[in-house]
Amino acid sequence: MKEFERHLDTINSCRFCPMCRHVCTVSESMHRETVTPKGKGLTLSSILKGLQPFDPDVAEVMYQCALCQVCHEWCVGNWDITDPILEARRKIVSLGIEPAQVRRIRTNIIEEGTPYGGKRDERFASIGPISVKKGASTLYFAGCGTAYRRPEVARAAIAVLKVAGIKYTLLSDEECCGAYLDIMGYREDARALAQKNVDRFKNSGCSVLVMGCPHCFYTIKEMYPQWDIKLPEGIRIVHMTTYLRELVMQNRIKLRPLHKTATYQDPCRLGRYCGIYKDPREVLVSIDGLNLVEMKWNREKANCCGYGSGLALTFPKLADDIAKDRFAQAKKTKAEILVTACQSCKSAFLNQCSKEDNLKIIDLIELVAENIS
Amino acid sequence: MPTLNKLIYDLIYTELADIVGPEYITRRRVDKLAYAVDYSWVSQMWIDRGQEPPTADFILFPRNAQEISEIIKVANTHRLPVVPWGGASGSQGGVIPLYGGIIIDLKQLNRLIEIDEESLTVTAEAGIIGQKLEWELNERGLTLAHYPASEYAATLGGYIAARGSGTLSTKYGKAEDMVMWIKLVSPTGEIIETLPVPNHASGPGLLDLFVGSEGTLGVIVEIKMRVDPLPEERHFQSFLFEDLNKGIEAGRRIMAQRLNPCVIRLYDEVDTKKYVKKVLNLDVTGSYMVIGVDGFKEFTGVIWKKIFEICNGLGGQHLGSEAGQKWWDHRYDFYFPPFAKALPKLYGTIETVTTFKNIKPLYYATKEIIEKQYADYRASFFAHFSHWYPWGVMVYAQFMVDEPPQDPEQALDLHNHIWADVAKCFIAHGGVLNEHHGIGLKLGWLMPKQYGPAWPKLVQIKNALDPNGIMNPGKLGFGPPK
Repeated sequence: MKEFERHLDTINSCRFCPMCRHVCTVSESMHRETVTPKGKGLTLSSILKGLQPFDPDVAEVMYQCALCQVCHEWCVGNWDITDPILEARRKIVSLGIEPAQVRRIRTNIIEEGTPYGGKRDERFASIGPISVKKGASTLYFAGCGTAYRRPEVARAAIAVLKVAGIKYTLLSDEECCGAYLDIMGYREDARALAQKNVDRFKNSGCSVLVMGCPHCFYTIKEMYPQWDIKLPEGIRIVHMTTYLRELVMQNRIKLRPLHKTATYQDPCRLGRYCGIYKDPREVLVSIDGLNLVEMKWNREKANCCGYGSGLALTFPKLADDIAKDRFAQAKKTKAEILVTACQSCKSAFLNQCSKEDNLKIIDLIELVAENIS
Repeated sequence: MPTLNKLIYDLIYTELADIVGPEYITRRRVDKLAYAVDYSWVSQMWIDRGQEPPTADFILFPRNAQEISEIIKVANTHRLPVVPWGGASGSQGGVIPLYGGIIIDLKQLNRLIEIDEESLTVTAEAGIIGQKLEWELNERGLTLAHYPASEYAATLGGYIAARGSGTLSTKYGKAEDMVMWIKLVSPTGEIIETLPVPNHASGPGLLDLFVGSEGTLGVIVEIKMRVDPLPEERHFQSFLFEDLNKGIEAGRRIMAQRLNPCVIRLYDEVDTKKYVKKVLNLDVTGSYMVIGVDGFKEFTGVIWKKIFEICNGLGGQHLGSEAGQKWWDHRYDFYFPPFAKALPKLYGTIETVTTFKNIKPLYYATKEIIEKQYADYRASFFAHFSHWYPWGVMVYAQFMVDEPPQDPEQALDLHNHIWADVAKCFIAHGGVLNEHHGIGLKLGWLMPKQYGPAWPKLVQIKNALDPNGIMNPGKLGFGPPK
């Protein structure tokens, strides 16, 4: 168990500490000790003490985490249990005892380039004709969640890029960024995919790589270097919210007034992982007449939507239970529009929303596309 | 109690799963270990040293009182122990399943049922987490005003079952002072309620019987609590006294004059050095006191004037409001690692309450026991006085052994001896075993010594209510299941 040595301080700090129980995304839905950060720390400690083997039950527990890091945000001691959890997942994979649904995600990515189960050659089918050009300055990386689940977000992104006069392109052979492979414990598979992606970015000749999916953004920008995958020099990697803010501030796009009340869901990977809170809000408040109201928990302490980090694929009922709670918080604001900047959050909320809610759920890029003048 | 063979074990599993549904019961090893540890040093040390802990046979997650009632009836049939489980934030081992059996995790019962803004009450299920309830109340301009260090983890049911105190108990009272009504599943499975209000002349207080029963007399499932309006203002001031005695006298005078502060927190000289410096980054010696007052501005001004007169009169050096506010803002920081006391040290909170007349002799006698009798172990002793009454004060004393024996049995033996010596000292000096952490498994054996000739009466009540002794056996001194 040498691989856990560097996590010992975290495991020993979390194993008996219940101080983040009240905010843990998963335990506040399941209401069980084992899945709390304390429970997970205790489980790992018990394994290291020889009281518990790695077995399929432990595996299930270790995958019942949204990796949202809200516990870390609340932790006065600054402990982050997600690192030991990811280590445990890699160990579980090495023992071949990961849950079947986790293995299916890997198979889907290896075979079809997406965790969602679609076909490789149908990746852009729902988006419509895409532009693949040599010599474009900007590469738009749609990401699997957008391509297969929320193609309207990609359509909106393309529309905005066109109106702004950006010379853009997509990768004809785009596939998964590798985030879900790494999150599920398949680090080496993720690295292989990352190297392929980096080669594609290089070959595209673009100087800007923009993407709307916070998972892709965080993985490519932050994780690739951690996996010793060298990012191509001269390519700026930017999330769509930052990119939009720049387009607005540079007057490259102008937005029509919108007299509505909106609230904003901070995606975990964009907020807590990347620290991007201001950019989407600045785009929203730049819209004349738009009244931005915050949910009780926002920015660093925003609650997870439940669909992040693959939880919607591995434990869909749990993910929906979590989404239900966050959606209730959004409704409490009495906003007319619920804006997010992650296709997974959008899916989570759409699955909770009924006509009676009178709440429009939309990605920031769609809101911009709809209101561009 | 009978040992479960595989066949009967599987049959009981089927029977229990039939009540709650297969998704709401577990017997997995990984869950049993997670439900073997609470905030008690003993349970944690046991895991830390790789010892096999006592575990439950089944862990259930019922969603209503009816399911709990049926579980308890099954438990009686098979003479299986039942341990109600809330947030597991107790330090006395109160939820450790000493004799196996069934753990009932109550956190599925987490609904807020009603906030009565006219009467200022809240009714909620027992499994709601304290902080979540407080947030809900705050949105309506109300507060439970119960701020224990365990607020992030403890449940409302746990507050009541263990007679908890919050940091503002000096004004707002302990959980037992706030509770108005409970619904409970009895040890034989009946669902019963106490009278609708706590103050009456309709016979003995049934409510009082169950408050503090730590799961030994039934499962509390629903609770009505008094709530308070959020105060217009709440301010803190801090003072430094030359020594502890001056600080105690200042606190006594504040309480004797009925000035109703929301908090008085007085640290002894060692605690002042040890923690105030470390966490609040204040370089002081002497005895440090934080005082809080809240309410309408017109009232608090008058109260502060009186408090300043008392503190100044005893030579208290005013350290300003910033340090006091800082304590309030960071009041739970002490409980996060690495600030919290933690293994591999041996430690314990030996807290008690007594009258002003007895408090100083009790404090100094306890200090002597730890520092002299356990000098070979280089045991340290430090204390603060944090829950004040019109008649006395609670001392939150702590001991720490930095390098205890590595052998788990020797370590436990040392731990138990310290507790025993201190507890007997408390009793001898007019104190009680505990003010707010409860009895659990740690102090149960001392209950007959504390109650004296009254103890058999409590045992008779327990036996009458729980003829098979299934409810949380081994706790509160009631012994094993029958």
